[in-house]
Amino acid sequence: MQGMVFDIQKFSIHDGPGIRTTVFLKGCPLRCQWCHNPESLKRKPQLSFAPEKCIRCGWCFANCPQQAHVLINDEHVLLRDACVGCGKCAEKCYSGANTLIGRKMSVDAVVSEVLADTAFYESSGGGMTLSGGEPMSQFQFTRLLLQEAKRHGLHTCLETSGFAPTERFHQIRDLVDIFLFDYKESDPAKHREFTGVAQEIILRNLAELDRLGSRIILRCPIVPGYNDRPSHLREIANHANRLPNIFEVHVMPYHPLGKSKSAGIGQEYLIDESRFPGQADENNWIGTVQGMTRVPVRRG
Amino acid sequence: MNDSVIDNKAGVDEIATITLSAPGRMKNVLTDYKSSVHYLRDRASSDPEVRALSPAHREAEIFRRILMTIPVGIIEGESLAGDYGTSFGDAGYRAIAEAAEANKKTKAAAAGPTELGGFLALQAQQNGYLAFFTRAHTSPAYDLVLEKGLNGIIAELEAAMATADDERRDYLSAEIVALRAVIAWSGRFAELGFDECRRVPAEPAHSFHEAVQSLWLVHTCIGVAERGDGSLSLGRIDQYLYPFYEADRARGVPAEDLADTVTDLVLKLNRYADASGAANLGGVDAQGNDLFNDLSRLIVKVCTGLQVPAPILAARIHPGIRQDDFDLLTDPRLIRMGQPSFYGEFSCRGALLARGIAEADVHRWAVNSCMGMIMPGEEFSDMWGGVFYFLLPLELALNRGRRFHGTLPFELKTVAPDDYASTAEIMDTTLAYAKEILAILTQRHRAINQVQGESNPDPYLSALLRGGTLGRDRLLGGPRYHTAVVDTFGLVNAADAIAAIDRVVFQQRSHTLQELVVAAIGDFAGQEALRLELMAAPKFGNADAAVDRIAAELASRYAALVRACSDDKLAYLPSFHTLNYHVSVGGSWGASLDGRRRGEPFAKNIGPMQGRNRKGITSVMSSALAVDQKAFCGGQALDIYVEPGLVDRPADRAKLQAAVQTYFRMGGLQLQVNGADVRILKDAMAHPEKYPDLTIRIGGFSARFVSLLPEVQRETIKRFEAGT
Repeated sequence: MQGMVFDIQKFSIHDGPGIRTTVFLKGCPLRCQWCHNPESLKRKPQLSFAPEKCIRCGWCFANCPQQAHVLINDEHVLLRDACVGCGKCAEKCYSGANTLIGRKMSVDAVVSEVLADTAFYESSGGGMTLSGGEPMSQFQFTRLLLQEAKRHGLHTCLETSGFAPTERFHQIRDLVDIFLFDYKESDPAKHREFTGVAQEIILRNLAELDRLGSRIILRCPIVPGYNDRPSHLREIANHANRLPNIFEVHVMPYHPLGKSKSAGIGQEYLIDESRFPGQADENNWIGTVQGMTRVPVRRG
Repeated sequence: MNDSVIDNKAGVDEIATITLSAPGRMKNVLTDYKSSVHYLRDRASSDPEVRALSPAHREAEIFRRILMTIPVGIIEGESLAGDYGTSFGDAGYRAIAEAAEANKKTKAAAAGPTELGGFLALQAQQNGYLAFFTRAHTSPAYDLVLEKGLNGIIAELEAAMATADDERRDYLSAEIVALRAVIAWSGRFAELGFDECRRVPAEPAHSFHEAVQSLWLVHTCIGVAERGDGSLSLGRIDQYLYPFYEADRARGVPAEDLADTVTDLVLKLNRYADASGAANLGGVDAQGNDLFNDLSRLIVKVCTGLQVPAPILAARIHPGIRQDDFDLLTDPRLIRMGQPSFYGEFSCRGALLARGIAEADVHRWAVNSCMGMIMPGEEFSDMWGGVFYFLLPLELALNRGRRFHGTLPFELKTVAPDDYASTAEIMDTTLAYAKEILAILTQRHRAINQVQGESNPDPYLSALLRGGTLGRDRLLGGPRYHTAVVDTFGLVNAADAIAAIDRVVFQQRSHTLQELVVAAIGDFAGQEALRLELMAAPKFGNADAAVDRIAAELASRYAALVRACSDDKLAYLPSFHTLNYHVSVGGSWGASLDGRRRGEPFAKNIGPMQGRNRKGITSVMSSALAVDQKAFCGGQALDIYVEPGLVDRPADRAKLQAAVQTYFRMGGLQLQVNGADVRILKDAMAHPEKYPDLTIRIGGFSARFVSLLPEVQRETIKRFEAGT
């Protein structure tokens, strides 16, 4: 079977222990206002368009089946509404003006690329991490990738928002060595406002994984003006204290780096990037959470 | 004398608690020694009495005169003797020496490029290859000096004179003159109050300080005798000095004093010669025991504190290295400076064994200069013996026996076909041309070597390189081993080019080979689409089997060709060593079929062409490992760049260490680790095409820096400036 992958990143050192390869799956049911991977939200391939790189070779103008590429007043314009993401323009665009984000890959193709760095995993206690997007929303593909990884003896991590049917977590639990589980907002109303979905199922899945003995790292993006409230920081610590299988908390100070990617895929960006956390803010958040729990709190 | 804190526990703890007020000790002392050495050499050389001597005696006498007349002095606060130069002379002397130097520089500049990079670029353009000769770059038998003293060595040479023929007797007596000159020079410092200089280096050393004093005096004189002081290396310094260190510790000499001695040596090393001399740290003995000792730790600590470029810390890494020691070697303060140079203990041995060093001997090997692997005390290694430009034979193959621009000063027999059916045929023809050019290069080099050995002998250095025949020059059979490295530029570019040809001409068939050649000769003018198509083909450094296979095959077959030029007297060793000259040499070379434009740098060492790796350091390493590096007994460095702040985080530093160990375990020879910093970020803003792979980590995720919007990049830089 095939899945929709938008990146495979080698020498990942922030997505689990050791040196890892992170496979990013496309598609996510959440719409977090601060998402730093906006190209990961939709399942379908999307064209990333950078007109400043165009060298006017003319290929896409002539070959786009939808005639979505046009020259207006010597400016290369992409008619986004006409674009269906077929990627034909990107096939022969060597300047990088047109790049298709997201491609279908088979399980074997993905795993064989992951296996290329096996020697590095062995020496560092690393392995494969699945991320995205939300890997659980391509559940079958995720499950097969994990199975194949395990068949090769790889250590596996899964980065997840936790927003998926509990039954699915039951099915793959044994194939995952560490869950990197997001905890984004503790207030239910704010959770729906900021992420687009309700938090109940997420909390239920977190508790369930913990109950069943899965090892969990709690990943907490802190976004100035949104969730950088003492009450939320306290709730992070509370979860770490209540759930014994949470062995680490990662506090991830928000940074507006996703803005560049949004522009490329023609998506409007919601976050006010003037709210840039300073070093003192970051230290404060980490220190505050650490002060309320014995579970190690790190900067993610 | 400094802010040390001493803990009276013995061993590593003690070293750990020493704090050195080192930065304050690094004075900016100007000695201007080169002007004196040059002036005094010229003066002695023009004396008819000197010219009448045999070449060996002439050199020995010039050497002696320099040492006896060069102004010497004391630097306050330093315990080691051995400072010299124009600055210590009187006003009259200074005026003469400086004027002579200025004159010399003007003449040299008028004769052509004086900087090696410019010179290599010119040779690339004019001749397409270079047969050369490198001075200095050596690791003599310091252990012998410390054990026997120069008088002990003189006794050996005198004994050899009894049974030597006339020629060797002449040379042996010249060696004795040179050694005595160093003893007399040392006496000059004794007169200034350095009592140890009455004993060393004439006699064996009896303490750590004496040993270091002896080492310094003997070491710095090599630059004088060799007529050049590039890359004067120290060999297994933490091994041969260790018995003296250990004896002093046992006698109760305070750790602080020993640290001061090491500091004084490092200060001298930075004041004279260049920053390319290697100091080996650690290794494994013949029984498999880890050799990283307290002196190794002390040297690292001193250099970490001083933050100085010399010496190159050659860290010998093996699976059994202690974690504490590996942490010491990957201290952020070192990594940020591009120190140390990491070497795979066992992978390097593999290369030496492949070169023909005996299994029983190989554990004694040393890193020499910035990338060489040699047998210290027994080898003269001509580290830029030849320079080979790999794109040349490729151009000849693709362009019917003609280079893309200009002509060659020689004719070749190989005939390039008018057209090719496959890249295999292109590679065969390329290597056939390479073979012929290498024959010309090495033949020329042998001739240069012979002339150098006969006309410019160095009896001083030759007395300190052993194992061959006593009384022969270092170039003519004195040392046990004589090697010359053929430094090779552009292999990766050639591999990228052939991979591009394969894709564009043979697979996609979108262009003919002829079209590509014409476009490249025209520097891709009006052909940007074609150039980008070449750029889109697989590139080395991304763990792509298609191009890695090509690089591996070219490299192996080329290495064999270089080795085949050796004979029992002189071994030619291949290397893709470029230093930073890939910039200047590429600067003088036309466009190539990998999509490189005219004047753009070549790839550096065995790394990807700048701007072409997109898959992180493990992929860069994987590509480099596809090449059989055992064949590169001339040494082979790979440069990797890690994100800013990585080594400051212990967990991530451990991952870097794991990557380094893996690289060596899989056969890599040498790694240069560069921690990206603010300067690199700024350069990446200005020249994004150079850094497609530069990753930064901030606020919860990693991003390719060059993909960020300018305002975000600026903000990121500000944060780094504030944070680091």
